[in-house]
Amino acid sequence: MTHLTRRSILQGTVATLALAAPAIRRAEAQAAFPSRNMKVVIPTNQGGGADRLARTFDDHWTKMIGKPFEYDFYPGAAGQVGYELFVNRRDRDGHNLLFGNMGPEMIMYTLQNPKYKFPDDFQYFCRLDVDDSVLFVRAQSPFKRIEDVVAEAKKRSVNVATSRIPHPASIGVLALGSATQSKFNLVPYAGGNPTMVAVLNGEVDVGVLPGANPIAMGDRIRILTVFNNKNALAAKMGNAPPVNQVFGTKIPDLYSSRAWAIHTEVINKYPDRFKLLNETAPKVFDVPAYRAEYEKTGAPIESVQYGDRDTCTKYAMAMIELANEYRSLLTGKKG
Amino acid sequence: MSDSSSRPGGKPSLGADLVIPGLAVALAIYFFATIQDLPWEATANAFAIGAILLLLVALFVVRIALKVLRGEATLGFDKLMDRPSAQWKRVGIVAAIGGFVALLPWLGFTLSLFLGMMASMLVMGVREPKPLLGTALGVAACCYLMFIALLDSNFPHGPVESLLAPLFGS
Amino acid sequence: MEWNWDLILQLTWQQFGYWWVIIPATILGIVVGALPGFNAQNTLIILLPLTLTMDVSLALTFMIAVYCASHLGGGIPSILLNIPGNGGAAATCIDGYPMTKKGLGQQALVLSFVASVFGGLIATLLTIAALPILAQIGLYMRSVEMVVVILFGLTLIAVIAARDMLKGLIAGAFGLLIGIIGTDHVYSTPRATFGFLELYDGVPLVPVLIGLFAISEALIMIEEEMIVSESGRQHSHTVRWEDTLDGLKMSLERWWQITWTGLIGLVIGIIPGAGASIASFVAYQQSRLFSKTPHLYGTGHPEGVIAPESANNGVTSGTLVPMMAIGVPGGSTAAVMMIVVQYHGIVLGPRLFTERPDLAYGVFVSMAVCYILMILTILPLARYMSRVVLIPIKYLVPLITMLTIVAAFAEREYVFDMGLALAFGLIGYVAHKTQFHVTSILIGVILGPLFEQYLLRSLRLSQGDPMVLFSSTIGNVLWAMLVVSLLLPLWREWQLSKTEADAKFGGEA
Repeated sequence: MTHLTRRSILQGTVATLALAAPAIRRAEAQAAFPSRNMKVVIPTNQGGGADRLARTFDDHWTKMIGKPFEYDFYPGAAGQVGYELFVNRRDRDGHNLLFGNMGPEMIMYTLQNPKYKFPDDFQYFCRLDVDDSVLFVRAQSPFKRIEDVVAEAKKRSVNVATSRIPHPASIGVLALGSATQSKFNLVPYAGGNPTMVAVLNGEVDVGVLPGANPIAMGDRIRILTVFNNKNALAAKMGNAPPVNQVFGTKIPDLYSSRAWAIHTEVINKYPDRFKLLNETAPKVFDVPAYRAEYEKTGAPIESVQYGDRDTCTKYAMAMIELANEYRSLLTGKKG
Repeated sequence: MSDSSSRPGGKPSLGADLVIPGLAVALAIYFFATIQDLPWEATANAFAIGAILLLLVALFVVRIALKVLRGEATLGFDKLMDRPSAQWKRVGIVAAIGGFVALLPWLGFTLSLFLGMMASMLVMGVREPKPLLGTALGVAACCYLMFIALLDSNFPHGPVESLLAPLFGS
Repeated sequence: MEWNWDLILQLTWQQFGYWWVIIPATILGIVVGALPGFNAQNTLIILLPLTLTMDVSLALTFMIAVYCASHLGGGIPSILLNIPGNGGAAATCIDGYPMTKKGLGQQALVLSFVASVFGGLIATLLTIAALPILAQIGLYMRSVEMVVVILFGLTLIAVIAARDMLKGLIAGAFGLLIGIIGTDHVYSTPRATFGFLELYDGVPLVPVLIGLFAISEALIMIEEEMIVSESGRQHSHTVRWEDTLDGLKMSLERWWQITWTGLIGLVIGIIPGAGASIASFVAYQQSRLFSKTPHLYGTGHPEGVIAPESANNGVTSGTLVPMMAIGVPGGSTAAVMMIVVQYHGIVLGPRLFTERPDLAYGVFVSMAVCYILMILTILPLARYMSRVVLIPIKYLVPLITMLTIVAAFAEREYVFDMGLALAFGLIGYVAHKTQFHVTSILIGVILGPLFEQYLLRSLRLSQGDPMVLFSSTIGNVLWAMLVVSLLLPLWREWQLSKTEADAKFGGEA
């Protein structure tokens, strides 16, 4: 008896709930956007540069769109996990965003050929910063100028700590090597912080990273060169010269840029939702408190530079081209 | 010691002892197959560990083979099959967990958890309706509050979640 | 650095004033520590909106209390249910659970609480006293040295396997191979992932832990009515304060062991990238090595509970050292704390000690105060917690299986992880039944990827020359210690058998 009763009660409940569900879903869909918290996938570690930048930014963005931001971190496989998860497993309704580091992540995309397509599946629409790649040593290092490092690298292979092999900064040092016939051995440390420690404790001779991290380290780090044709932050980098100026080389500008990305489907299917995000985000750059907070993290304020969807797409495409050019050096694949 | 769980009076049956080594060897072979074309940095460690593993398993197989050949042991699976009364409960629990995970995307978190709790308690022999329903409801309700209402985690939503959504504003 | 007693005293006073934050945070930390799938790091991420709005020193106190308490909480289910709350508490199962089965669950809990608190406290006090010197450790332990430190942890596989070496080593190698599934560290190419995106990051620890320990243990429990043995049951039913006092006495008698295993935790904690799991495995292995009664380890020996618990709390102050001293987080929880600190515009690193000594030292003073308040909070609870084991199996098994399967989802939010936990549950069950130690598999899974990472980094630095592993003085000293710790037990056994033979011979003469 109890058995029968229990079953009928259950069936009844399930039926009622199932009937009620679509009505509730409809109500939800019609609600103003955003109707719930924004969920952000970050394809790098928590506590890393992207984390810090996104949080400083969202404080002010939240005030404009009315909902707070929540973060999930998927640093696996040089960001591949985060992107694939964002593209294939997050609802494409505008409540889900990705905050990525366009440079290294587009290079990874080119080399690994993952299960998502740019720009068909997602697009970057708001660039936050331009962070030039730099080559640096610790303060006690015998290398005083970039010429010292290259001279040494002509005699022996110099170890270079980097965050990841597929990274603009890594391409920079590889390009420098082939342009000057010097030898560099890249050692990946899986993140900016561990790369910094490896240089500080002298495990490697030099490191390459986007400039913000070494600049924040202050006088324990000496920046020797910057992979850009002009050094906008010369004052904060001990007047480190641009690499092409020193060697007369033609290495392209290699900077990292963090940007917000959204599903391409949302741009087409919910133009009003995209419009809201796309129009409010640039306004954050004008909030004085945002700039003040950014500066307090120790990163240079000059690197904050808004870039719209077109700028981001152009940059991402350029990175794909660059990665294809250096493919053999970056993959180490046989044959 | 390793033979204590065999049939009393009978020879120890060591067939079950080969399950873990068998899985390990299968993994090693699959591992080798996936890394053939990769640069040395990506393969060195796997080949080293895999080789050691294959060597250890080879020694282990020889040890068991010798015992069986000498007639000191058999290749039965008694170690995994003892206590028949517990055996069906075990299968039932595994099925309940499997069922919970399989139903989760369809019925949503709270409802499948409720059903999963009910099923596993029934398997374990709980028959009185009060503790049965009470425990399952209590667990499902607590987990709903924690994971859906409070943490807003990405558990699949179903009818219960949709119905309660307006209440908790999630 | 000048010693400023006034400042330390003032900070201590201030921190005691935060008791109203510390006590709830401690309870929260214990709960998330005890639940597999939850840890201080993901809890603190969830609570960031709260901590970001708090005053910075109050927020730090709150986070530190959650963090320290979670390292203590992990041992509770290890002892009572043979289910470690996190990787750092896996070694606690080896002796904690046998104590429970004997009806000594309450004593084991008290041992773990006292060891955790005093191990953590001693390490913290030492950190306050010698911070500048300790900060150097992180700079001397490089990839090569880390390879050897991890090998110390891996030798525990052999130690656990003492009864059937071949089986133990197979289990360990199996674990190591599982541990290196995922993308490689240099080029990020996937290996042996069965085509699952969810395995690109490597096999996730939480589902493995839940499968190998919780699900498999539940499948074995089915055979019994209750966890506690018949003889122990009578004892467990009459819980008394005397048992708490008995546990206290047991732990105080072993104060020296608490101290030195806590210091192992401190040193390992300072090394960026190493954490509570390595510390507890190494401490267990070392403690057995120097014990007068190594054969009692694994049978419910109090020292086997103390070593991993003291070490995994010794780690707590260690991980904060690189963060405060160089401005680089030593672990994932420290990374979350760093977000909060930086959000308030405070730049961590050496200058902090001159610019904001109240914060630089405040962090460690706060940790010490948290530990003092923690022991007062937790000790009286041992008596009630130990009653968990009296829940009838027919309720306990459904609760354990369903709740831990749910927890398997919690960390990464993949349904895949729940299936993975079930698969590892079956592997764990077969391993249990055929005497392949699940702890050996787990050690492999935890240390395998770390070992590969540091080994490859060393080889990449030397451009392929394996002799790099013997190229540093500290590394070579560690190698020598490793060899000694492998040979010492053999030598001891040989001595023992010789004495026994002599005695026999002498008796016959």
